[in-house]
Amino acid sequence: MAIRIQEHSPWKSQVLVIKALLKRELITRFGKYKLGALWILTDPLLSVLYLGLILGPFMSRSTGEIPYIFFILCGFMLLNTCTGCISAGISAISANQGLLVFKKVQPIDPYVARFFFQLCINGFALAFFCAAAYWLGLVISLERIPQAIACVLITWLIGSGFGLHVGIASTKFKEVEKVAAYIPRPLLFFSCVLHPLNGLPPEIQRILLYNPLVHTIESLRINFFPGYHAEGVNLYYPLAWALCCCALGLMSYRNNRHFLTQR
Amino acid sequence: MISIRNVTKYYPMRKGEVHYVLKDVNLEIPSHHSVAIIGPNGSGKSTLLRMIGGAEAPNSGSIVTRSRISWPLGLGIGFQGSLTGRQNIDFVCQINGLNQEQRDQVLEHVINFAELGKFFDMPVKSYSSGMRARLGFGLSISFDFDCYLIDELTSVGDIIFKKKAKKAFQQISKTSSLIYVSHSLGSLKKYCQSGIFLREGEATYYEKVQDAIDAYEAYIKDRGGSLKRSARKTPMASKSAVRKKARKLARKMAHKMARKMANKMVDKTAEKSTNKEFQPKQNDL
Repeated sequence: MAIRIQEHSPWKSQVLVIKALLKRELITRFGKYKLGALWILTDPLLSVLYLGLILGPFMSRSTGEIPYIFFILCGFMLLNTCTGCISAGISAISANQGLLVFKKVQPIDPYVARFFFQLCINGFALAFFCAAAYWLGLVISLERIPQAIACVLITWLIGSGFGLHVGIASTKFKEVEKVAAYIPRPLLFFSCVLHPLNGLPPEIQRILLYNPLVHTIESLRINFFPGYHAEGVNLYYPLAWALCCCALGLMSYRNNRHFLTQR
Repeated sequence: MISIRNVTKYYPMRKGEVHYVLKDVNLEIPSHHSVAIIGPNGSGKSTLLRMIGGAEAPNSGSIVTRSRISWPLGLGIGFQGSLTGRQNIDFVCQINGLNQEQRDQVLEHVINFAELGKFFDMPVKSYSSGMRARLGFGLSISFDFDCYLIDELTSVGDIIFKKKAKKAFQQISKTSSLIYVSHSLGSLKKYCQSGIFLREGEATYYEKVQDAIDAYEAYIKDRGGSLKRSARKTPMASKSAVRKKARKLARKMAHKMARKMANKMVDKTAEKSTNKEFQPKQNDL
């Protein structure tokens, strides 16, 4: 009568765990709302509309051919992909403590599942909004879709690496949680979400170009609108950031993995 | 066979100190042999069980086994409070890669065993500890393991659950083994053949469970004695201080009692005045 559990290969087992955790994430994240998973779209849309309506009248001339709302949308969705991962990482372990008792669920799995979840919802929302804008008559270049996807993925990797770091640090030191809550807000201004890079004075441009998110966000706009101009932007710099962040995050995980399962 | 080799486990304490739960422990737990783990509070019984189940890793050393071991089953572990009982069970089925037919089988088994009724579709955080124990136990025994790890689980159950658990234990012991942590020495004797006695970071394996229990009791007796001795060694407070303290305490108690009695009398008089016969009793004071 009792069911014998089959042995799976480590890869298959990991995939099964992450799938199950994704489902769990979906249930607890949207299950409590009346609109449910529709919040994936409504949440960013409301923020973008709010910012766009307030700032639109002042800024719309500087963005050239891109409507200001869509301009913000590109930046906002990418920033969200990054900061969403950071805030998801903070509570990943404590929110899944009960499930870590199973040998198959290793502490890395909640992190991976949560980051992947962030990628899914933000990527889906971005794709949906682009499709909607295209359908509404906005001229978006479709030739460089792979590069646009690369922008999203690189941003996500940066966020995941940071999220892993911050998440592990926050289980060790509670203060990290407080500090990490202040990361997203200034990034809204330092990542060229609300204004184009080339509209700024050259000295400030040079400083802002150290921020990898500026590169991915501006690249995304260039990929959608080839006429848009952002000098000094490339994808290799943020890619290097992404690889470094992930490597450091994974190293930090490897050093602390025993600590994370302690209750 | 579960072999525990040179396992050391410690937890960080405040100010950079560490507390050793297990210190360089070597044990061989034979298969098809139910083992009791006993020891005083905080001696690392649950930690050992969690390490055997793979929920936690030792700081050094290794635990090697080829048998299929269940997850450690105990109070308040193994479930996600925000998910319902059904969703939690789905999760376990999913991570173990069961197909739909097997999932239905597990669900049916758990529903029948746990008898949670409408609570089955409520978040687990709304469960009582007994209900959690039922759910956890029901889930574990719907899978076929060589060895079940059980941590003080049946103590919270009501009579129905205890009966069911007893029956399940008997069935389990035919084909598999238990590693059982409990403070109820009676049930340890009933279900286990051998025992492990944990104290102060050390672990000793005893072939007969009775020997382990004897060692435990001897240890408790010894420690109780040593405690008394240490109490005698503490320097006496000065006589005047003790007297002062006693007087203060007496005043306090007298005050309290007087108030209590006064309240009682007031109640009684109120009661009696309604009957129009007021007679305070001296005895009540």
